[in-house]
Amino acid sequence: MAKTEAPTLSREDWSYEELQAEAEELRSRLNRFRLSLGRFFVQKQDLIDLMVVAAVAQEPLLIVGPPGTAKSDLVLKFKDALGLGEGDYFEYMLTRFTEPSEIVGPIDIGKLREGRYIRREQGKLPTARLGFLDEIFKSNSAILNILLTIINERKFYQDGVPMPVRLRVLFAATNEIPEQAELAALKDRFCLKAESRSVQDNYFTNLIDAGIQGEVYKGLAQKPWIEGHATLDDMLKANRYLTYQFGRRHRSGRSEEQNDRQMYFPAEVFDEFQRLVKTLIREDHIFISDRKLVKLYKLFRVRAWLFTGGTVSRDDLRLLAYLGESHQEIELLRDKVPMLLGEA
Amino acid sequence: MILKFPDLKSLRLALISGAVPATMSKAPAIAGVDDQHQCWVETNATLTRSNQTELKRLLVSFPRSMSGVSRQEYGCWAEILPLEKEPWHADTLTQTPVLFDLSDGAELASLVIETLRLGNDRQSYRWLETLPWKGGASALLPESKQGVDAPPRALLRVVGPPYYTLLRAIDRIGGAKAPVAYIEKSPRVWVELGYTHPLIQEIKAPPGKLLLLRPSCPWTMLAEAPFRDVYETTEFLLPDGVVKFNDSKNQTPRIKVTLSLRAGGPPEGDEFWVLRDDPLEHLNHFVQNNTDEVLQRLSFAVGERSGKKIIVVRVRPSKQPAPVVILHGAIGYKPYLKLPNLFLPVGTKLYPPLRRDQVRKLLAEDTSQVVWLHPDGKGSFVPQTLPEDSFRPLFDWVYYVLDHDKEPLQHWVQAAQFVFEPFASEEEAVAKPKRPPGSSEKASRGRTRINNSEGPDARYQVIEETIPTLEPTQTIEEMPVVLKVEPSLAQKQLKELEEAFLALEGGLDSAQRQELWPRLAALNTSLKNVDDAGISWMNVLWERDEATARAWAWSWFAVEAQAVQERTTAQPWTKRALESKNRELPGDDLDRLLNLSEPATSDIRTLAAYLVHACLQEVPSASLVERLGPISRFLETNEKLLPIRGMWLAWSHLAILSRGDVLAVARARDRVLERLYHTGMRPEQDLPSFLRFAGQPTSQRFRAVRQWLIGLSDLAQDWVTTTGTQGQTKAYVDLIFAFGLARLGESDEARKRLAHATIALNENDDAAHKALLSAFDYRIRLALDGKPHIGPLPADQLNVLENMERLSRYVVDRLRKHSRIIEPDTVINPYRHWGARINEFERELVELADETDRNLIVNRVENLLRDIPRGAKGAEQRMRVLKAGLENAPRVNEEFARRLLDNTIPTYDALPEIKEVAVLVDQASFLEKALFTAGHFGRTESLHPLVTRFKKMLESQRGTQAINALESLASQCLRGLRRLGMREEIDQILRMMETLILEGQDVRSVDWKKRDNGPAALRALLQVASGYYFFGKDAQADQILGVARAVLFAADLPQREQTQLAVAYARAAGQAQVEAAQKRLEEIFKSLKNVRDTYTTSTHFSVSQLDVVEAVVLAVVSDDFTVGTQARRWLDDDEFLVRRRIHRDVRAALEREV
Repeated sequence: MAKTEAPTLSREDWSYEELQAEAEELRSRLNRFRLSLGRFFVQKQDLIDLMVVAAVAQEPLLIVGPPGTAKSDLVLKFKDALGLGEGDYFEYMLTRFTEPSEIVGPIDIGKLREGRYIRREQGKLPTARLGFLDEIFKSNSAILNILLTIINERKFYQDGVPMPVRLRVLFAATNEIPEQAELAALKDRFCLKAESRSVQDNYFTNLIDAGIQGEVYKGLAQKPWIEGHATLDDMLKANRYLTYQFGRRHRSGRSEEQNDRQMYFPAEVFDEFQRLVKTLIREDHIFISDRKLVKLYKLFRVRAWLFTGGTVSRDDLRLLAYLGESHQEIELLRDKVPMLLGEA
Repeated sequence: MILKFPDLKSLRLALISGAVPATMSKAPAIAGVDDQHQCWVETNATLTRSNQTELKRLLVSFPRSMSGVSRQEYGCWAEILPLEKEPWHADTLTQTPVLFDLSDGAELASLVIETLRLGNDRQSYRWLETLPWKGGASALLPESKQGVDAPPRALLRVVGPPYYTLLRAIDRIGGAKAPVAYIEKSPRVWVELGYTHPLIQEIKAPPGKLLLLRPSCPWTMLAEAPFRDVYETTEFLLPDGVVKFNDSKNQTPRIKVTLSLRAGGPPEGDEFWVLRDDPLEHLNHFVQNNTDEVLQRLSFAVGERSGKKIIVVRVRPSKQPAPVVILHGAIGYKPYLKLPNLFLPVGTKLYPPLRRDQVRKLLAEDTSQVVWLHPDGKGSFVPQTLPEDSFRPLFDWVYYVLDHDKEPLQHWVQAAQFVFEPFASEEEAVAKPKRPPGSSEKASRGRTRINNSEGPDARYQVIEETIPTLEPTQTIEEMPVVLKVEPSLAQKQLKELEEAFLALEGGLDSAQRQELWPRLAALNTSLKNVDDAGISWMNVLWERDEATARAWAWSWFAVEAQAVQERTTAQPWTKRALESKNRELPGDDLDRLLNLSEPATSDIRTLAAYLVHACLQEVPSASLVERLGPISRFLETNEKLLPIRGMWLAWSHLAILSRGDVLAVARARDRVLERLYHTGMRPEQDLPSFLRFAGQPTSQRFRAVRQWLIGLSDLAQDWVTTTGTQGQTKAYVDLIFAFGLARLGESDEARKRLAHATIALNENDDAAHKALLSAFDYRIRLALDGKPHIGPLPADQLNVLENMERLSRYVVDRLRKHSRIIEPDTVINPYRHWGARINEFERELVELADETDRNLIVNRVENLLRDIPRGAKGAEQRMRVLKAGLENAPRVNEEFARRLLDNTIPTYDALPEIKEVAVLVDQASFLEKALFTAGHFGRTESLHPLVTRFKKMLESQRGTQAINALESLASQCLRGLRRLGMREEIDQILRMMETLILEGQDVRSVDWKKRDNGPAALRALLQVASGYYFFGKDAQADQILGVARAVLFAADLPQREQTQLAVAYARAAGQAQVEAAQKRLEEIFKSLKNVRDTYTTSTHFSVSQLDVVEAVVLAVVSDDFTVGTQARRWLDDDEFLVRRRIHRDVRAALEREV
């Protein structure tokens, strides 16, 4: 359902000094947020952590899983917990017959008659700050093209003129990952692809208890997960803070300048990162584009900052398990990355 | 003494050539390289004068001192030569021992643990205590207690280490502590991975020593000593325990357990229904409210118990999922534990749960009885049974009748022409409905009649009901005769044009033919031959530039629009557009079209034409653009009504209207390819009538063939009697003809022969006969239902075979191996159950062949490929997996096909040399599958390497073995290629084969009886003849058939050769012009002698005779025979053109998007 309430306006031009003063507080708010939200699901903490990491890094996240594994519920509660207004959120279930107008707004017929190809984007994806697209791979290429531009360039073309979009965080879900080559570009844009799996085999009782509790909340129109721990602005601030950090040069004791990698990515962990990537490419033919490697760096740093506030550790390298492009790869990496890291 | 070499290459040459004597080169030396790359060597040894002379020839000088050179001590002269880099691949190390040298022994544990964790336990290690290296000559490092201050050092030997672990050494992870990996390059000489020594083959380690070579490091020598296995110390001995229990001495009494039904399993998936109360009323209600598709999937039986009738309905065996059936008043059952003859109420299970074999023994041992457990409502149940053969197809007992008589109208004759409703060669569709055997002559109106008086068991009473009136549809012959009138000028022109079209040389895409299409389209339009005009316009628009297409697209729309019908209350939706000046369809007319629940073919064809027209306009109609979504949905639902060309034109233009929706184009492409794969181009839908009926009119041909086949069946029976009947051969001949007649739509005749055979084969209660009868029965019924003749036998029949006694099983498998009717896709090896147990890999392959789920096919193939060893070792296995995958690839998707094709050439190239015919045939079939898949998905980059390899394979075959293989090769390669437009390639292959077989002689001058392997060569030549027929080279083909005929009917070949030649002759004859083919095939049964056999199976049937009969029948029912080779050739050509355009469009769309 598309929502039409007017979006709230906020500034995003915080200075480094402003953010530095607030950084620790931000970190602890975001950690409270992710851990609190985890209480309302059974065995979804890893996925929620990943959502927070992706949201802070402003990287789109694809959630893959069969129906009924809480994919939509995760995003909805995430949105609620951030206290987002309706105008800031857009969600839609795509089908192959979905037309671009349903996602980016209908063509303004009046203006079309004047020869201008303008869409009325109010209440659609370009004006939301958090977006959720369900069954994303079922869409047609007209929509895929629009999405690629929005994800890549944060832009949206109106009559050939690029317009900035407000979208900052994009989650998508899918039951299946099709193999058509035409979808490769979009798949590559989703650096992280996480599986939402059924938990009934191992957590049957917990699942029933939590499910019934969820029904109660729904029936009584209660949303206890709205606890106000963090807001979307906190995530944007964290992103900006880390962006500042990526660009900074640090001076070590011997007055040598160190960049972000030298400062926050210990050599032995960096070696391990390289070794893992080479092994996955060589042994399992996992495709990792150059673009993805850079994005991964960013994601490692975000995770390390969020979880420990410090340097990247071997544990952060677990994000490599979310690089699979197909069900087989996802399944393989789920086991293989921890095995290589020695944590299986 | 000092020697100065111009460079290191000279030093190497001097060492190899012996200019530096071995006594000198083995001794330690001091050496260095100066800025001019000159190599200086100082040695204590002296050179003879002759050595010095020789060295001088290599430009070596002998200065008195070494100056300006940094010097280093070496253990021997070979050590002075530096190591060279060498490429390496992890794949080649899967079975190779690698030695990890750990300068810090503390790292050993982590390396061992990591390697174990990654699944490799082929590890052993040594501890070394080293002496600090002091420089100079190589030091021997004993495994000793010396050098206690030095850090411990360790060697770990791993066979095929994981790549992840190797990276530690390659990327020097851990800096100075990183291990160094060595490979053994020559006995006991280990060189660092990625390097080699220029004299590696010449370097010999001293006895009892190992040598480690690293770049820029002195050589290290170690004493040889055993490595200790990592498991050597891990043995857990447990203390002895006390046994607390003894065996009971008392005999355990047998325990009685009452079986009951308990709730369990999903309450759905029923495939078997029992109607008890008022069963006939319920069944009548059911058949009157369900589609014929559902009814065709069901069979039924009527039974009686205590004077009360019950009706049992069940799903007929099929590979498709069971239909959803809602049968009021019935209890639904489903099979239990996959036993084909045992059914439990849905949502229940047997309690306590028993093993499958126990359940079968208790409840369903007799497979001729169908058993269902009738619940008594209190948990208990009563097993009830009906004989398996009391079930009859439900659809055969249902008549569809009209409420009102037909109202014949006066036909209207237009001045000069007749507009016929187009009809295809589907006479069976308009033939009189056939009455089931035993039905009464009297009939009443509008009811369903169910009659099972044919049931073989008298216990099952007949249910008599009022019988419906039969009002058969008129056949073509009964339609009013059309008056003969003189053809108009336009008709004459059209006829001339068509003749000119047919007379032209070259393919359908030749320029002259392309020029004729617009004129054909215009003439057909003016004559209002809507169908032919439409197809002609589609051909016109197929390969045109945009401006030309724009000028003609409206003409296509206009002619298609003529056929759009008025509906009850409204004028045709095309009327206003046809009358308007702007040539646009108003929005409400489009909506009317889109709201049609059952649009006619004319509606969809007109829509396709309109989409093409609209897309080619500079400003597309706004009403159309606004409705693109609903139009896509509508088109996708109804696209099957369009000819393939129309379908593609519609989708490709629709995609342009949707601003380049590449995904929609790709999806449409997938659907078109799937349609081509399953049904190919269909003459009645895709060809204009003059091409469709090229040669003899199809309908005449079809009818004549059916009648002729009935007569041929009697001839075949006589032939079997004359030649000598063995076992139940005649019953099997009936079955083979029943299948052929069923394929041609002669259902009455087919059923009659099936019934005869059933009685004959059930006489002796022989398990093999019964199983084979079931198999034929299944195939015949598929043919009667018009379903494709593909896939394995149903699971229940295969289950029966699995449990069959071995000799009977052999008899069944023997015929399965020979009969392409029973096993259309797979050649069964009847000996496999006598040999070794099938291994896991073979089992997986067999299961893959039966898999129908696309995702599971992909998973299975990828898993199998992953488990195969890399490199040449696994090439044969990889080929088999790839072949199985390629077979399924057209049904899966392009991505899957691409991955397999990418693997095909490397795998083929890695295959070992061909030494046996079977291997050759296997490899040829592998290439053929790859060729077909590459062509199917338009992957031209794969086609030519594959064809080249195919030709090479052919060229490499010589002598007797080659002749044996050629027959199989020819049949493998021709089938797929011709639909992909590879005419030239096939022609080349045919000519190559002919040359190979004839060895340059004229076919008539060869003495085939005297020639070595003559009959086999002749058979291969007959395959070539089939190819010639396809290309219209009938004279060449006839010549070959003439020669084969003479040899065949002379009947002095050994029995086995005689049979095989007869089979090949029949197959080739089936490709000839129909009259000639009929004569040749009849002659087989009139004059062929000496076809008998003495195989183990001759107690049941004569395989040889059945081979011949089946070859004849299959030749007759092939598409080539019934449609006509000429029309089939047009279709094949046309399919190639369609494929070419589709692939080109999709590629262009993708490139545009990029």
